[in-house]
Amino acid sequence: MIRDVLSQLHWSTLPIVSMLLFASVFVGAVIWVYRKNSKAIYEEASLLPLDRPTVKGGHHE
Amino acid sequence: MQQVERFKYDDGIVRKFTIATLAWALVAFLAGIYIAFEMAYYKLNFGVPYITFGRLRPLHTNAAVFAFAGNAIFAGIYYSMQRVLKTRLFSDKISKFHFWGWQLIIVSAALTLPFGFTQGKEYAELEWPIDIAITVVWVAFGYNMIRTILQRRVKHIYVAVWFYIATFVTVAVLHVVNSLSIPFSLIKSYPVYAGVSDALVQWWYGHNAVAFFLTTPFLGLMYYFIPKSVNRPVYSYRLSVVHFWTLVFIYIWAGPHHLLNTAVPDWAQTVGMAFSVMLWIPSWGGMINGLLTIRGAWDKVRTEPVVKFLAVATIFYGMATFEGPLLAIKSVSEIGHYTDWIIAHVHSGALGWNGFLSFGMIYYLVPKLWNTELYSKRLANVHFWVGTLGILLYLIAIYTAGITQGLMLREVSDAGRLAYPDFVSSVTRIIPLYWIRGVGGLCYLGGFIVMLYNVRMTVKLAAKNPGDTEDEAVPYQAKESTADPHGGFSHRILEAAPMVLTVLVVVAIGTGSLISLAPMFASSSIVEANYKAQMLKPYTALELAGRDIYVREGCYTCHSQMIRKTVSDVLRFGNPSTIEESVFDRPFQWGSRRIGPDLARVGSKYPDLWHYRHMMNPQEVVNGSIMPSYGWLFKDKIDYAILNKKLDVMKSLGVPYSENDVETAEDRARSDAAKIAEGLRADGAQVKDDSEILALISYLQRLGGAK
Repeated sequence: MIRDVLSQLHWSTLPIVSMLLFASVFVGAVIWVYRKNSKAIYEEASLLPLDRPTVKGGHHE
Repeated sequence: MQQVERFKYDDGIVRKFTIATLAWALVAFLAGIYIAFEMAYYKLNFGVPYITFGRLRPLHTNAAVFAFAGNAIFAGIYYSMQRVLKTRLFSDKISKFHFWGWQLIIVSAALTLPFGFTQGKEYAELEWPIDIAITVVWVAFGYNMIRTILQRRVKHIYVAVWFYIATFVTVAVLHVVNSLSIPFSLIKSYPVYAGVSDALVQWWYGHNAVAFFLTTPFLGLMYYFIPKSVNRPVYSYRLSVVHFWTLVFIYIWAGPHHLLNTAVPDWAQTVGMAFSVMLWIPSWGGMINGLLTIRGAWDKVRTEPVVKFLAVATIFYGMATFEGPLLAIKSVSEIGHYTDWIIAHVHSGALGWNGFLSFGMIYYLVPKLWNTELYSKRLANVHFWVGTLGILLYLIAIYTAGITQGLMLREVSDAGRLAYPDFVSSVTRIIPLYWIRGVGGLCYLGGFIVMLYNVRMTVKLAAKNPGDTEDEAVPYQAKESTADPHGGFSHRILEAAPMVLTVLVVVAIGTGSLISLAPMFASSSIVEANYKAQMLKPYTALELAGRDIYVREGCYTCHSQMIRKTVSDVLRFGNPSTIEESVFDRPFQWGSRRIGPDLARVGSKYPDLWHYRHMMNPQEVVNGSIMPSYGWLFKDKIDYAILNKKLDVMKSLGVPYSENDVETAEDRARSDAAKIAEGLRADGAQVKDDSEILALISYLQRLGGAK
């Protein structure tokens, strides 16, 4: 049954759906990283691997 | 007000994985060099089945991917994860189980592959009992990792760890789905997928094994070890976040680019192609991010071997990911597919990206883990240059070989005929390049041996019992009550919440997987109707026995069974292969490399005696062939007794065998074999009625004439 339904679908629209999906993920990710307050968060996060006191509210006080 | 906690990192487990990395690297390199020379000089197997190319090549790839790169990943993940999360690993016991379990899996791979126990699917060759063990150990690794993340002392989960999470989740899904099979003996099984379904699942797996075993974990390592080695934060953390989500989302779709111009539905090929090209964006974003992290510290590239290796590794990542999308374009794939071009592409990734990143990481780790200085920077520099020379020799030779062969095979004269009708002429032309490739491999190994010595001396001169590194941190839960100046709700729901992140990764890879595997679900009913209409018959018991020998010997490592819809393929091998033709193929054997000709329509092309002589002494019938003799097929006996069981399993998988077919499988196979033997003897050949060669001939003669 499911097979029959699937075999009747117009698969040719899928590439376009896929393309739109990807575009929204990409745009969504870009918007997400530029959200409010993100700069401080990312600055702190990017220092995590390094052995220096973090900028604010750090772990080595 | 805040309580500082002191704790120790588990460095012992990282030391273990580091040593294992070095040990297995040696095995992988030696196996690779050996098979490289076997291609230059076919007699190097000395008539021994266990070290023949078809059986040793899977050993090389498995050792390189799962043993060398695998242990390197685990070493790097366990080292970096503890430090960016400010916590010891969740459980020392699970870590140890993970370590010894993984080594046991590698040893069992090394003990089964040379004996021909293989599922016949690239990078998924290991048989079902080992597949189960891999699943168990992998889940232990993932559990250990997730629990470690949950007990972290910092709020934010550093981006490297995201890449590790994606690695765990995706590899688990890929491995389980692709390895599903039904056993017919204690060690052998048939896959649940057949033909085009098997091909789609396999290359969905194969491509993403590269993506999520050789790319995402190494990118995580890059995002940790490059900032560490130059003592600078990553160039743009924002870019790394975009890099992560787009890469994880896109990668999974690209699998069908391994099946361009084949019988796979066109739209699926187009999706695979389009998404592969899109991969340029995140890949280069990540590469540039990695390199720019070294900004302002370029002098270290000159003086610090660690930075040297990491920088060059990142450049190779850039080159390989530039080339990958290129090769995924249909018209480029037409030349590159089935040739050494792909082998060159893979090795620029493996030797340059994975290899050099691992080496850089190990040069960084060993002094830290043993509390000392590296024995000799000079020797590390020697390693770098000798290794780089090795890569260059390898790549120049094999790119040239691949493009030469690709162009020769597709060259069609004005009269519409093949310019090089003899396949073997395209092989003999590139043999000198195989020698150069072998020398390149030896250089790479030479550099590595210098590294082994350097590491050995470093450890020898270090104090005994190095112990665990101590650190201190304030648990972030304690800070929750105090007002947090930044990172409000939106931050908590995603980048500081491992479970949500994991679920989103699953959604991202799930979407692509479903769509790229959709043709498999969709086509099966059509295919079934078609083959019934064409009255295709499943393999006879003897043909099936022969097919299993074909899989066992790894014939697919040199011969494809997929005639593409390209002019030269059709001129050379006949009509394009159809989906229906491989409907009974478990596993599918379309192959990925033509060191010899395609075999999809080899059936009835030559008499039985030709195959007999060819398998005995290929050079006698094909002048210049580099195929070794398969003398053992004439001595070893067909396992008739297991055939009933084999057909029974096939029947349970939906192959249209009758009860009678299953019950009489053994008897029929014996009488079929006797007939072939009789014919051969009439032509003057000497052969026994139960010799394996009879089953193989029976299978080969059936190819392309399935009615």
